[in-house]
Order: sequence, then structure tokens, then C-alpha cells
Amino acid sequence: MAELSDQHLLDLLRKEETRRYAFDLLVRQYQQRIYRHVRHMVIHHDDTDDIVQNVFLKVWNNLSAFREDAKLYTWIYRIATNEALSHLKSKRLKMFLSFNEMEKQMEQALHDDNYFSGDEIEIKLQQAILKLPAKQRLVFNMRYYNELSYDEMSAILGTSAGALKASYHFAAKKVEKYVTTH
Amino acid sequence: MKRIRHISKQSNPAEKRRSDFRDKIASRAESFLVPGNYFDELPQRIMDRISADAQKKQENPQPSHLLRRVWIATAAVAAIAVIFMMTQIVPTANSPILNSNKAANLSADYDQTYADEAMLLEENEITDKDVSAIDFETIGIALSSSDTTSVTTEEIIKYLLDENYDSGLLAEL
Repeated sequence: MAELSDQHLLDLLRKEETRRYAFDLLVRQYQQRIYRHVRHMVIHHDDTDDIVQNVFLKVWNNLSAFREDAKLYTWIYRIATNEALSHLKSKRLKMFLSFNEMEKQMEQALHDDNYFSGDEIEIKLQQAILKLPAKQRLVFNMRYYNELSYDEMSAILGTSAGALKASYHFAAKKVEKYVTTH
Repeated sequence: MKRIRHISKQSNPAEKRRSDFRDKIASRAESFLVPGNYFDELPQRIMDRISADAQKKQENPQPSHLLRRVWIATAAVAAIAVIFMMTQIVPTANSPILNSNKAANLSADYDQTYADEAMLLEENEITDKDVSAIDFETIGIALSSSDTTSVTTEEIIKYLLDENYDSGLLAEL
């Protein structure tokens, strides 16, 4: 499917008669990227499904608040990031888990999940990524899996590109060390 | 020599792990799978939820922010009023409820025994017939007091308690 430009989508979204059609196009355009971004954070498919739906619902309900000073994708990505981080925090607090316990639970989910097909190295890689602090994990996933530029990441996270580069560098070192020593 | 060094590097497990890891990193293989047709169906599921939310809002319109604040303020005032009224009901030293009880004991020369009887009579369960049925002489004889004609209130209470009478009633004595 050919991607529509932000401007084209926004023009369609502003008109009452084309809003639903335009929103359907928007979802189809961004769903896979948003899904992958969230899935790498929360691991479980079911949790990811809930979060992705909530993200697009929030986008629909707040379209009038979108200021168009950033790209549409950046805005949606930011909502998805906040939703994923909120979900992780809420899950940890609801189940009275410490950070370590939460990390162990998510590692276990990798083994138990029917929707994870990784080999031994991939499992170790995911385990290594799970050991990173949440924000560092976010940076690593965005750079490594989503291949976002540092400028794009900076616009999404509100952090300087330099800080993100440093964060990614340390994250990558930690991940490599874990995989090669375990 | 070069060949031997190359072979020895390959046989080093740590080096092999590093090499495998780098290959894996370079491939960026996606191991997270999704159920079949997930992305085909997701947009429709989201649109259905939007329609359902819109319907719910029409059926149960959310009050405006201003109206909500008015409701909260009204509820707070009502809660304060209820708490204030409850403090008025609980008997205090000057409350009308306790004062009526005191009235029974105003006279300095009243007979304690008759006052006790009067308080018993105030209870709905106790009637004149009930009181006349109480054999005070028998109670007096049953008690350990040597003076059978002057039974004290405490002795009557103790006797009645031993006979499993209503202790709540006796508490008013």
C-alpha cells in the first residue's frame, strides 16, 4: 500500500465525511511499526494488542489536539511509547513486583510465548535487552529494531541526540557482553 | 601460520559466540510472531471500538466539567452537613437525651429501690405485671446478704446476672 503523506492524511482527517476513511488508512499505514515498537517493550502479544488499540483510540480522540509541529508518525510513536511504559509500570505495581521480578517474568514469557520463534541466541539477545533499564531498552529497540535516526528518536523522546547516542552505545555494549558471556 | 591462527580463532568458543552474535545482530531477525490475519483485522477492530465508544457517550453523556465541579461541591457540602448532624445526635453532657435520664434522679430524698424499678419500667419489655412478678423477698433471701430486708441494687444486679437476665437492661441501672 502506498503511503500517504502527513499533509494528505491530515486534510482527509479534518473533513467530517472522510475522517473515518482517513483514520482507517492511518491505522493501516502505521500499525505494524507501532505494533513492533510496543511488542519489543512488553513482549506478550496480548498486552501488545491491548496497548496498540489504546494508542490508536487516543490518536482518534486527540486528533484535534495534534499541533502539526511534529510529524504524525512522531506523535503516534510518542503516544505508543508512553502507553508501553505506563503499562509496564502499572503491571509491576499491580502485581507488587520488583524490577528484577518483572524482568524474570518477561524472560519467562519469551520461553512460554507461542508467538516467539527465536533460537538460542535470539533468546539470549532478548534476555540481555530485558536486563537494560526501561528507557535504555527503549533507545536500544528504537535504534536497533526500528532503525530510527537519532534525530527522530530525539523528537519522540524529548532527549538530545548526543545523550541518545551515548545511551545506545552503553546499551549495545551491555547486550554484547551478556550474550557472549552467558 | 596465518591459517593455523585462523583455525585456532574459530575453535575459541568465546570468539565463536561473538561472531554468531554479530551475525544475528546484523540480520536483525524478527522473532516476535503475530497470529494470522492480525494486521488485516486490527483496523476494523479499532474502528468498531471507536463506534462503540461514541454510542456509549451518546447513551450516557458525560457531564461538562463545570457541572462536574458543581456536583462535587454539592456532595462535599452534603457530607459536611451529615457529619455535623451526627455529632448532634451523640449524647453529650448537655444533650436533651441524657438530661431526661437525669430528671429521674433530681430529688435528693427519693428511694433508690423505687428509682431502679422506675428505670426498669421505662423499658418496653418490662410491664407492671412483670415487676409485680419479681419476688424481691426471695431474691433478698437468695443473696448472701445477712440483712434480708435491705437488699442493695448491686446485690440484685449480681443475682439477676447469675440468672442470665438481660445484662443490657441492667447496664442502665
